[in-house]
Amino acid sequence: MADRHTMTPAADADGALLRVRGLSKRFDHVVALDGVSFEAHGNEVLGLVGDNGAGKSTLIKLVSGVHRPNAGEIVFADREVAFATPRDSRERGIEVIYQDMALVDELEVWENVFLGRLLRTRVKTIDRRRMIAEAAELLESLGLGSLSPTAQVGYLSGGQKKAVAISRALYWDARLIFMDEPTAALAVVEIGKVLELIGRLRETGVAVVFVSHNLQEIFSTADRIMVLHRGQLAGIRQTGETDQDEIIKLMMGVR
Amino acid sequence: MQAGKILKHAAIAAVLALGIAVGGQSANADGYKVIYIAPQLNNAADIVIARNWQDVSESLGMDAVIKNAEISAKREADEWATAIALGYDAIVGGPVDSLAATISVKKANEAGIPVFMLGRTSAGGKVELIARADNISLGTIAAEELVRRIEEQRGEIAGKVLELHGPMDQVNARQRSEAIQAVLAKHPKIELIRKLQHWTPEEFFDITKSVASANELVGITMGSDVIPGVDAALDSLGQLKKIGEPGHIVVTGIDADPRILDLIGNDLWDASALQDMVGYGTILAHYIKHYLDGSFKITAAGPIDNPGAPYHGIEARWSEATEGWQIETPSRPVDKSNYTDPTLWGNAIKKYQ
Amino acid sequence: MTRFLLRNAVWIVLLFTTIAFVAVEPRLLSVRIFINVLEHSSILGILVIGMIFCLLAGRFDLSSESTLGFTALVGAWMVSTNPFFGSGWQLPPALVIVLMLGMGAGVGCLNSFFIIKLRVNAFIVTLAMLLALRGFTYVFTNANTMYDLPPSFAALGGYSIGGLLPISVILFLSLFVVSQFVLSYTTFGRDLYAIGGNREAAFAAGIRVDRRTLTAFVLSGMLGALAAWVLAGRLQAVTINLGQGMVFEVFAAAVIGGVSLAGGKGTMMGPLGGVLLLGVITTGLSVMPISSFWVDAVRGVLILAAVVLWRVTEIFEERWRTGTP
Ligand SMILES: Nc1ncnc2c1ncn2[C@@H]1O[C@H](COP(=O)(O)OP(=O)(O)OP(=O)(O)O)[C@@H](O)[C@H]1O
Ligand SMILES: [Mg+2]
Repeated sequence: MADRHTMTPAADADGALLRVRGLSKRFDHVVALDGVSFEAHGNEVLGLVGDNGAGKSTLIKLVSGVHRPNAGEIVFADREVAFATPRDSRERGIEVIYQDMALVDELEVWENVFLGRLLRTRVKTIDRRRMIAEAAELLESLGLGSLSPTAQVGYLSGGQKKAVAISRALYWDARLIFMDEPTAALAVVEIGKVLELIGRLRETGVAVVFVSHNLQEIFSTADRIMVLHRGQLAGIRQTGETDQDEIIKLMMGVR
Repeated sequence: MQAGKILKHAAIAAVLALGIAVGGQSANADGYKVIYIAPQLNNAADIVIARNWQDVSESLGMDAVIKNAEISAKREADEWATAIALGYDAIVGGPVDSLAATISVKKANEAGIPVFMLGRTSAGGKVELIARADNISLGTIAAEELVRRIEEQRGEIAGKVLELHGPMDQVNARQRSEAIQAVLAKHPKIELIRKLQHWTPEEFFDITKSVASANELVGITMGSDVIPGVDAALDSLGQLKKIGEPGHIVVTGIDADPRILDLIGNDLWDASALQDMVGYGTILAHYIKHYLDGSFKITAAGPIDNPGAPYHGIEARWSEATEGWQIETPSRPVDKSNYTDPTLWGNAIKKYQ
Repeated sequence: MTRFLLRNAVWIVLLFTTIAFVAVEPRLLSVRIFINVLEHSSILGILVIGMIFCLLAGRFDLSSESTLGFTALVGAWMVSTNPFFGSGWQLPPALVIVLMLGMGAGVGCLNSFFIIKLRVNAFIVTLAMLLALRGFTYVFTNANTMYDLPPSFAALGGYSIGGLLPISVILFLSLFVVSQFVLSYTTFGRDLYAIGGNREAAFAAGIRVDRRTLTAFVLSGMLGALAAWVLAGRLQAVTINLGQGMVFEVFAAAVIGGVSLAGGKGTMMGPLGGVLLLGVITTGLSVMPISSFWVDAVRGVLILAAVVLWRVTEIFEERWRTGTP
């Protein structure tokens, strides 16, 4: 159970929190992911890049239990896992900021933050007051104090929505956080905040997988960079040992 | 009820509910194929009309099929079209919508298939014979029984009377209601409260309860007593009293549903005007057989002359609208004196259980 | 304040409709008639609650009226003491009630099996279920009216406290309060909003979408059976067409009460106002000395007006919120 105050995120003894081997996924005739293997470590930001449709979101959804893989194995915290639903992966300490399936517009901010894991009182009714207070605190700590926890999400700006989605992933002290384009549609100042946040998460020991189309962002935050090309792993590089040209070539499938 | 009986029920019901034609496999290989397209089969009265007609037809050696239009004019038109295409020897209707059915009847006329009507009729097209209850007689008897019993109960013919009438676009509902109104209009001290219902028990209950709450009623009558609700509404107001007790509200109905016979037996319902559906279904089945055999056809208005046939002596009238003959079986009152009579359809139906 | 009024427009419409009816027909202003409205509303109300659970989850349940008809008829058939038209079993009422609720739950399970597991459209599934159940009612009853129901079976629908206040009214009002509580304060209720609002987001956030949807349909089925029990007791008889056509009023009440047919939006209290509004219209028209020819037309127009009015208040609320004149 990933309860906020009991779980201490920590890297495994050998350093790899997540190990993926030969992960594949087909949608009808489209091969979205084809035998991808990689590792993610605590205390590390793994940058994930690739063209549109390269399979980045699919990879995340396979690990988090949204989709089931056609082949491959996933080892999380030294245990082989096959999450049937995102609920299972969340319970094991994996949080995802989804690119496309994040929020419920009809609900207020606090409820989106606690979506799927509403806090309850001793008599099992939802603890609305506590959730509003905690959401306010969380937003404040993210420098989003101006965003009311009782605002309806449907009326928020794109950036504000992103902030809410990020808040949800952060509230539960996860061991592994996937961020699928968290900076897309954000203003420069907000992007800075998100990148700074990613840095802070790394310091607390969390493993972060960070997807972005902006290579500058990737280079300034990631420890390693993983490149997908048409569903296949094009390469993984240490950030310090590569440059943008090489990454772009990998993205384009040039060897 | 034992398993075999349930199975029998299930079989019959499946046939009725799904409208599967069973006639084709029947033993009457060289018999006439006749079909009855029923407006609905969702209450005892409609079932008795259909089943009795079918039983009698088959006993006469005809293949008799029942189809259910499920109170849908569209569904009804489809069933007619299918029946015409299949080339039945005769089609028997009982339209959901008398105007819409006229088109179907005309198509059958064009195809040369003789058309008959059971219980209700189309507004036009050529119909060889309409056999139905005399709605005027039904309404008249229901109202006359009501008036007579109000006088017995109260000592005078005065006070508020509730009439639950059906939709006025249905010929039967309109004729019955008009007959009731005609009788009650002769009694100036009667104040008639007319309320429209669509033959649902919820409406019968709600309307009766609301009207009886806001008014002191002396009597209630209705277009059909097949639909329950009136007695329960009075009961829930504490106004369901036995006949003769002070405060008893006189209730008369039309049709004489089996449930009403029980209420009459318990002195909780005054009387009902019998719709003799066993009678007119039997008559029609025999007439169709004779018509198809070419052994008898009505040729003139007045009492029919075919000794031995069940329609012998019944008055035939020419129907201008449907260019054919019609016979209307008269009603008679059912009350405590005769409610156990086995020829009443409400008692006859028990043999189908 | 403006927002409060707009959000509760249905209650204001209810108030004005009532005043208008009473002005035309002063006899309507009586405790008896008031209670008649509540009693009339109880069946519709119970069905509406079930429908709202499904609607909030972004689904329909068109079958609840036939669940009502089917369970009422089968229940009455099992319990009737009539020697000809009942089953002859004369099962104990308590057992029959449990069986009826079980059948209602069963219908809900079947509906959700087709919708969730086989992914057939909810509209088609529940419509087919409606037709199938109507068909099955013949199997048990030969299309006869079932009557001679034991008093203990009929008590829930028929008994009135002090001869005036029917327990069905207390039942239906408490059900609304309880279900509003469920929607506002339980994870089940909140999850329904999330599922109806954005099914994928709800799933991704770890909500058990299928299980919640199943529960909504099971509740709807059981509420249909409960309404059946109440109605059978009230009428002391059950016909094969019981409940037929009610689904229209169920939808009307939900829409008038501000429940979104697209899912994720609505309360229980709004539709309660909608249910009562329909009750006032029906009861009012049956007491008023209005020509029979007009009843259907007036009823239809009033319901349409209520739906339109709801939409208008929604537009006004949007304008008020955004400050556009
Ligand atoms: N649910 C699905 N059904 C069918 N095809 C899908 C589905 N999800 C993804 N795909 C296909 O799989 C491939 C990979 O898609 P994916 O969303 O993983 O790409 P991506 O790398 O995240 O792209 P982007 O940068 O545009 O977000 C695409 O061809 C896409 O059309
Ligand atoms: Mg993507």
